[in-house]
Amino acid sequence: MGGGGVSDDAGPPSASAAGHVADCRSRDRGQTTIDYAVGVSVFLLVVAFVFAFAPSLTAPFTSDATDAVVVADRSADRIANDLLVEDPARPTVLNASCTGAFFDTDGPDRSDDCRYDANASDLKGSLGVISPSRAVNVTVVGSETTLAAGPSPPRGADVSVARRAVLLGGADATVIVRVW
Amino acid sequence: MRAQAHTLEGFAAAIILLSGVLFALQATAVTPLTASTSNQHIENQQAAVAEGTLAAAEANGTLTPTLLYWNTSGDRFIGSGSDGTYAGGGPPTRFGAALNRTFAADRIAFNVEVSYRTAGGRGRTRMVYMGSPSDNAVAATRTVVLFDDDPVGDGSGTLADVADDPDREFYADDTDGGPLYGVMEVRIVVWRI
Repeated sequence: MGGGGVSDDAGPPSASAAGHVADCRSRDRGQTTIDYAVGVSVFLLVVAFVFAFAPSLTAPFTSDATDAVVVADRSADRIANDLLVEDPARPTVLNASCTGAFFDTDGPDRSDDCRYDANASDLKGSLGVISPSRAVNVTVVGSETTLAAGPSPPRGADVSVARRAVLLGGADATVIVRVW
Repeated sequence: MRAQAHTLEGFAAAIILLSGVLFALQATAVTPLTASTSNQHIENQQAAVAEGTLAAAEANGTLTPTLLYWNTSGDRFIGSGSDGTYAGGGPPTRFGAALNRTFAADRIAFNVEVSYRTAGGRGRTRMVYMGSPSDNAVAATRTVVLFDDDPVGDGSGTLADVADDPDREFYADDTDGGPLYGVMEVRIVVWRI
């Protein structure tokens, strides 16, 4: 093992270590201290690695964000394929006036011509998000207009985002749903 | 002897611990190291966006003109590269612009291909080819019907005119004797780069 310790037992030790060498009379003890240190440090390193690694084995199942991902996905589906569409047989084709009325929280809550029961003034209710700890923001980004409902995500929040490509008033638009 | 025994003991204990971890990794079906779990949500979103892009293009009538954007004398899509496909982005049509805004602007690569019925089976023509898709690519398809009186994009007349002219060619042949020309399946393959 260690090069320095090979001839410890054979050669005459220095005066200060004489008492110690006298204890190690048998020749088979070699470099006990160094080898012990190597063995224990390897063992301790591996123990530390295992303890650091073990929690990450279950990380995909325990993460808080897993339900937000599903909520965002379902909410985006509901908006793009049901709530704002002109005809549910033609998903992602939004009705421009219904979409405008949905995001206009000052206007009437519902209209007989549109498919939603409540507009963005009760955003979580119309999306079916009942968990009080979840917040939702829906933004429709068109080439010229941007419609938004819901609070803005706080800085540093763990936000799950779902996107849908839709047709709004004959032009392409993107529905972005943020859940945190 | 006893010295080496200490070292060997340390190594043996470490190996036992590591094999325990290895066993746990094998026992768990999904681990943080499984590539697809972290991408699953993103793949779902890309598939939904691709589906929506095709549905929107069909609804506002921009999908069919793109399928007909064909140079009948040069036997390739109009303005395409030397291999007859667009490589740097969507075709120079409204549908192509929508693809560029939706995917290319977010640095997502896409392939577009058109498949159709031929006399002997199914033919396939590449429209946009950005390379071979990765393992995590997703696809969306949409079926479009072409009729004999649809005008071809290079201004040489309708599909029926092109079929009658021996000097001109469309990538798909007329599969029906009636007013129907053919049923085309548009397929978008999307993946992160």
